[in-house]
Amino acid sequence: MATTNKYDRQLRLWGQNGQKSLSESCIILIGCSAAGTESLKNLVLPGIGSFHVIDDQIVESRTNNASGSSNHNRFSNFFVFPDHDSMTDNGENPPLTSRAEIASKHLSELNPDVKGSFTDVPSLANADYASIFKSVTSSSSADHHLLVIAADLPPCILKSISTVCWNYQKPIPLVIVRSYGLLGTVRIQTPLHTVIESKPDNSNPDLRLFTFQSSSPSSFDTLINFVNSIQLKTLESHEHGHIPYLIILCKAIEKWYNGDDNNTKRTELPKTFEEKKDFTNLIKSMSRNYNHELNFQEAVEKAFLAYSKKEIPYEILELLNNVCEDSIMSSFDLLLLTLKRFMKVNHDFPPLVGTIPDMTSSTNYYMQLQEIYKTKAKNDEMQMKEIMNGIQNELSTKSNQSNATAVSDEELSIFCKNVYNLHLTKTRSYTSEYDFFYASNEQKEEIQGDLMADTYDPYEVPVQTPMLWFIALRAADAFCDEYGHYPGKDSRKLALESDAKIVQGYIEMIVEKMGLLDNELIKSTLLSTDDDLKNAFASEITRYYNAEVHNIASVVGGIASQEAVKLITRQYEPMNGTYVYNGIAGVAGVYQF
Amino acid sequence: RTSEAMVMVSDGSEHCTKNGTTIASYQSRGSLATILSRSSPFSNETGALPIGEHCPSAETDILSHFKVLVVGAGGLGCEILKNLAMSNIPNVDVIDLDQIDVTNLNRQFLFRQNDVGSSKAEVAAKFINERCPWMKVTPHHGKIQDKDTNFYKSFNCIISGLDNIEARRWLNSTVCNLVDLDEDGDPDPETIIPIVDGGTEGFSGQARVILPRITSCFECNLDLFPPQKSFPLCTVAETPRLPEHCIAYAFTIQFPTEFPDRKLDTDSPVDMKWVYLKALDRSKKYDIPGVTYMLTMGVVKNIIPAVASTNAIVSAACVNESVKLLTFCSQTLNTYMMYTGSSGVNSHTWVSEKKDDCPVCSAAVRKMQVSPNMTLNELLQSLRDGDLRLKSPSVTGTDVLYMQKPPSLEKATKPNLNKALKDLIQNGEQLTITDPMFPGTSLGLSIFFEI
Repeated sequence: MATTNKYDRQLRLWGQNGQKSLSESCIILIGCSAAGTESLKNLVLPGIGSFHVIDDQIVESRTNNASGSSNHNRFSNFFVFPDHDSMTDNGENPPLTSRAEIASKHLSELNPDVKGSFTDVPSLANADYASIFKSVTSSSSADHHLLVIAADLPPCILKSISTVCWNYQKPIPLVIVRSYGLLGTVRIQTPLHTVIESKPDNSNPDLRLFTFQSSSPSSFDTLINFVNSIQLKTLESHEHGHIPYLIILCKAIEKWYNGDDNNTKRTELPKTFEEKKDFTNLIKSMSRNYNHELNFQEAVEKAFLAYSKKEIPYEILELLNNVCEDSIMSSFDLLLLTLKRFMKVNHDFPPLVGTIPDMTSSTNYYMQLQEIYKTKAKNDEMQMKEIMNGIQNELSTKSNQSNATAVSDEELSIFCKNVYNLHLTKTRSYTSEYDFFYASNEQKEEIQGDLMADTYDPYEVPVQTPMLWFIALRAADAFCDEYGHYPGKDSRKLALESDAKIVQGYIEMIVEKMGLLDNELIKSTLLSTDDDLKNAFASEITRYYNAEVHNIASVVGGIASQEAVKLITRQYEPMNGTYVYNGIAGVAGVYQF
Repeated sequence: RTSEAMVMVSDGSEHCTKNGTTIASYQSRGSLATILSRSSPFSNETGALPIGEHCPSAETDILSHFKVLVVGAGGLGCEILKNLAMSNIPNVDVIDLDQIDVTNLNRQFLFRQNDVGSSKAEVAAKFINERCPWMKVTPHHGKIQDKDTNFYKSFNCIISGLDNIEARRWLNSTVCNLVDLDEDGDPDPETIIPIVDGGTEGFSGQARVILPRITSCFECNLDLFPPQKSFPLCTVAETPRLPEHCIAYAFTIQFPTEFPDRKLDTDSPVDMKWVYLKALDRSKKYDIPGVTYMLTMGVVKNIIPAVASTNAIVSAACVNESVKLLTFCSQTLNTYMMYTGSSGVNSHTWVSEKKDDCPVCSAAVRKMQVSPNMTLNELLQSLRDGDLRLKSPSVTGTDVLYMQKPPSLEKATKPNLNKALKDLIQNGEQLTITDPMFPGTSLGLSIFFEI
């Protein structure tokens, strides 16, 4: 054992900042189903600050159940089971019976860093969630950030939780998780979630090589001077083979514009396929022995960096356009306005990121280049800070709100390093989605597109397209809304067939309201009249009777907790839409409604 | 009641359903047993990978007839054991050679601080057997390679939650070789033991089903797991640029020079501090920032980030497939589900292709064209470096050419290593290659000389 930090393996993903955010969060779980406790388990383990469990169920004690050894058939929840530890003959410690209390107890055992508590309610259907949330925040020691997970609840309860979270003084992110037989879903609700450290898997470096373009509006003098100080021709061969590709590309751009005996003068960077090929050949011609100079091979491989500009994501540019002094509500808004003004005085360029990728190079050249980028980034950051201070002064003279939107130097620095990775998610509320029957034409088209895309993919089995199963689940909800229980309650053949017929009716109704009656995939699956598929989706949904299958609960619980981690740490891009796991064929998809 | 308990009382005035039924009835729901007892239009035989017919049965202990092996009691293994218990599959064996480390505790939820240093398999089995009295989990603290074929033959399904490629390849080869083939080369279904394999890295993971000789096997798609990249030696020795280069110098060059008689113990704080300080010295010399103890650990041990959520997703997907493979109650994953969660959630299921000349699950003889002057040693090296990624191959032609074991045979055949192939074999001669990576089987390789 060479380290003593039990969080080591996750710190390598989200760092100390992410861990701090986790430790300052409070997760409220509503509904102690298996999907609910599994979600919470995956959050207690990595070290959230605290959790609070709300439930209305009673757990039958093992002694009351005389059916013997086979009763474990009904267990599908690892953290909720009759409490045999506290059972005593003299009755001094009566066995726990509240599901919330039992779940809270067993989840707390997972990590001594996490404080667990619970609320028993007579019924989740008419609990006063706003006041429970309020009492949770007031009783928790630190100012914990709330996040709510709602597990395996019917639409009517979800709607009221959705509304409370959406309208809370500071909206509470909500994760809705559900397992239903071999199907499961996860959905996120957050009016606005912004991410600075989205940590994309691969992203091109911000090198500003176009500073060597004759018409470049913005110049990077220190880089230009450094590149000019190097004369490739005068270098001895070992050094020539250890000039970083970044410098080679700069030299190539210069040559591209100036021309020489073998190359015509150009006025614009390569655009067409032919021009790009010419540019590549130009790089090769600069090498002394292309097969042996790794750095020139890298330059050819990375030639695109010379003529492509790194862009800020479209939705962030939109935000920048909309932000103004009157709408500074959060530190993120303040940072956006600062960025907007910075770009205005810097020819639309954001602050330099300041890091360069590894490349074949001598240590010396590489360190010098690294220093040039780092220094420029530092200068840009200082200019950002000045602009930000200016805005803050303006704000405080306008209104007397002082420091409501403070940004630390560290935050500013992280922001500058991530300007290209900024991300924002706005979801619909669950309540409004539940009325997606009245989807706009645009949404209908999107859904049509999603559905047909699956039939073009040779790997997909169209019948197993997760969205079809999502529609079938909606039909089960409609059934529950009407009858107060899910279809398939009565195991007798005729009863199952009769429930399935009703579900099929709901499927047809939903398909019609979604405007999908003419969709070829829908016609050949959900609405099929062929013998082998007629009512098949409705029958399968009825077969399940909302069965709690632990494995399905654990899959969606895993997704739910992962999304919760992303929402809490404000790192990584959360999903926007509904994740549907089809455990029949092992296929999953994410759909936005 | 604990002091933190809060009891909320509501007025009960709301009604959720249209016809006034109480809402509590939504809570009543089926279970896995419900699904097993009812027929389905999507049962196993209707799927893309049919292996059996679902017979709805109300028998409650249907899953107790099966025996399942869990390979690995780590991040995936702990979850898999819990999932099996919650699926009412009582007869389970679990095998793992590792001891519990403090860095396991953020996800391996059957272990506590007090268990650090104990056998993973034993602690995990004990926890499950105590929490779930119907479970009979048998632990094996040891290497998978130490179990014989009769051990692996005794299971109906093998679920693997391994963290390295080498063990996966060994297990895959072993289980693929348990399949009996008839005269036409068709597999005897009775001898096919499904492997359900899971793996994770950070927010990404995969679950796949291997039906030996029917679907692709692990070896067929080995290229999905490229070998670990190491830093070029000249960069590490001469032109370091990154903190990682300094660390690599400290543990691959400085440590063996300083301690020629022993290997670096990556679990020893003393050794790791030594490497860290040497790397730090070197980074100062070159003015390279960023060498930390945490990074040193990461580079030396090739640490892959791991979180509870990804392990939960992958393990549950694996056990879901296992339950379906055993009961035929639904279709089978065909064959590979990939999952990435670092930007949004992306999932993709696809059929991984069988490789025609797979060294494990096909009988194909490979052909190779080489220079007649190539030495036997060079040939062996190319088998290690090439797509076969062998570990320590032995070769037999008409005669024994080179054997790694036993030592006497190794000594006798060693002189062949430096001989040219043209002096050892005929043009077109078929060689038989054996390798510890492919237990119980051999690989045919015909050598043709370039003219």
